[in-house]
Amino acid sequence: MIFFQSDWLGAALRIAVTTGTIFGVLVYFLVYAERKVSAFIQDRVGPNRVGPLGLLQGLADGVKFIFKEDLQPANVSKFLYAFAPYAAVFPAILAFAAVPYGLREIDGKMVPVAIANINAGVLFTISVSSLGVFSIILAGWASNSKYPILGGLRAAAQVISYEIPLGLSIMSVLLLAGTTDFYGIVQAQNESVWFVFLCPLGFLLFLISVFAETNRLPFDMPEGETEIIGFHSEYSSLKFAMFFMAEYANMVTVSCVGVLLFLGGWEFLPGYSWQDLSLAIGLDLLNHPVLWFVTVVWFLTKLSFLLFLFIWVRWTLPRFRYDQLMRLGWKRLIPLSLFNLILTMVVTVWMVWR
Amino acid sequence: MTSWLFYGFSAFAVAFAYLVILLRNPIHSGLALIGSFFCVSGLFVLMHAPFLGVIQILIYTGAILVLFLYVMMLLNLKEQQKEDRLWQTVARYVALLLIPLGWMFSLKVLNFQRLVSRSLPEDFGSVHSVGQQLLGSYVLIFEVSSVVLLVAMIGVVVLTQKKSMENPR
Amino acid sequence: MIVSLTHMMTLSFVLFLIGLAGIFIRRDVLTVFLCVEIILNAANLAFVAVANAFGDEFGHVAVVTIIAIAAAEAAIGLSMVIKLHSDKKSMNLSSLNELRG
Repeated sequence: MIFFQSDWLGAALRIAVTTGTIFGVLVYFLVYAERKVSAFIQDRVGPNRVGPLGLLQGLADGVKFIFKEDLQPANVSKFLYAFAPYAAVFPAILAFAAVPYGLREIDGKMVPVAIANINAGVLFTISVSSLGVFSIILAGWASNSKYPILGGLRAAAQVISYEIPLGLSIMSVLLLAGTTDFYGIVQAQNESVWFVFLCPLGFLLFLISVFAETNRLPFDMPEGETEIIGFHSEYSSLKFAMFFMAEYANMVTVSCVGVLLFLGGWEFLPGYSWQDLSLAIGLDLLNHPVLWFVTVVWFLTKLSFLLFLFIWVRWTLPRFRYDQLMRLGWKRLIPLSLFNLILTMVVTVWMVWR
Repeated sequence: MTSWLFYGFSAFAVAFAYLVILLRNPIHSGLALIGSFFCVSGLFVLMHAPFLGVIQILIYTGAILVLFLYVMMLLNLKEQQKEDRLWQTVARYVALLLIPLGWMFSLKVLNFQRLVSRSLPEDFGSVHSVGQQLLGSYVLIFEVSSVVLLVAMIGVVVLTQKKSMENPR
Repeated sequence: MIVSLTHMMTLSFVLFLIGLAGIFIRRDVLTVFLCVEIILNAANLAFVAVANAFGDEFGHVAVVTIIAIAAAEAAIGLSMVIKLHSDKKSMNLSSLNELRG
């Protein structure tokens, strides 16, 4: 067992397990849930042929992707064309490195369960996930075709624009918590209330900009598979699958951030922490070895709620037109998020002075 | 271990910077610059400046270079044609030769006894401590840079207006 | 092996020289801008190294300021590049040799 106490091996194991979980399990079930929920909303049955309840449909799709012809159009910029899908997947995986998803106890101290506990975890996650826009620009440009370059221009402009309200709404949370550490933010929500109640406007802005950031409907201008041509039109086979997976992995990451920043992370209920629960049922949960399992499961529950919201919105709202999208971003969301930030500043100062 | 990381990051930073000026395609140059910035960001983290390391990625690569690449894509640049005259080619090789010379020169001449990455207070360079400095002793610098950004924003709006150039009033 | 300030300053100097050489040998505007970014980065590196060696956080404040200025510079510079492209249809600095606009 000496190997597992070694720092490097432990870290490697955690990275492998977490990355494997995100891509193997969460993304897989997210795609499945997307199809099932959309089928439910449209009063269809959805995938039900492959495996029990159609659960193996994702596997069949994966096999299909792998065996499709990997087409490379003529006169593409070869290196960049091959590089762009990796530029999409790499930030999507890396951004999860600093996201904690549970709580456990080591040597009498509470430690969040995460790959790496970084002091500036929120900043790290935003900065790494903002690198995903490079893949859009590179894929659009390297394809050497008119439609992907137009799609890439539109998509990049959209992602850059919506990063501003996203950052500003996250900043209001950082102000309320007084820290850039995910653990500290969850602690702060534990001590007061969940920030979704303290700044609902911030949560709304966060949600809207996150929908745009991950290219989900109603802002799925970059994808728009059948109607509008997107930045990855020239991609096929596994390269396309990588863009696809990166999108879903990004959804998982931003939903985790949303749960941590606004929905109290792994805390039990608003105003009713695990501590209160363990007092009520007479079992010291906080020092129980099962704590990490309970908190991770609770975190996943909240996460699946947010992910369900993503799917729900996708099949409810129609797509925005491009000029409407930009107008919403620059003329509505940015002033609103600035207003929200100033409001939060006033509230914070007032709370300190009181 | 740490010093090997230092030298590794340094070597890659220099190599990517060379690529920036040697590659002919501006988009390739931009990508090489991203690599260089990542290495410098790693060096910042090693030098007890984690906040700057994150800011470097967030603003330099995540905002500034994205804008550069966006403009390159918007203008759909082709590779630079070779239209140099003889003296330009000569100047190019002289300039490239000067770099290793300057390297050796500075290694010979510079002599600082102080060490980088020595033991420092626990929160040196953290968000909290840099923020204290930025909004405490150096608040004037902070305010002035915000004014600079505002002026830049107005300047860009004025510059990119079509009418102002065609019929100036 | 311990990294001394000399080594970091040398790295900073070399990056500065590369940026400078790039400005001289490249003729298209956007790459020249990228070289300016390399030079700014070299300055940042020197600031952080000195801040670390002397245990003074002014270097970090300076770097934050430099990054803000670099953002302003990039915005202005790129809008000028777009203007240039629409006027001259060329990215070459040699096409900018007239005094009248």
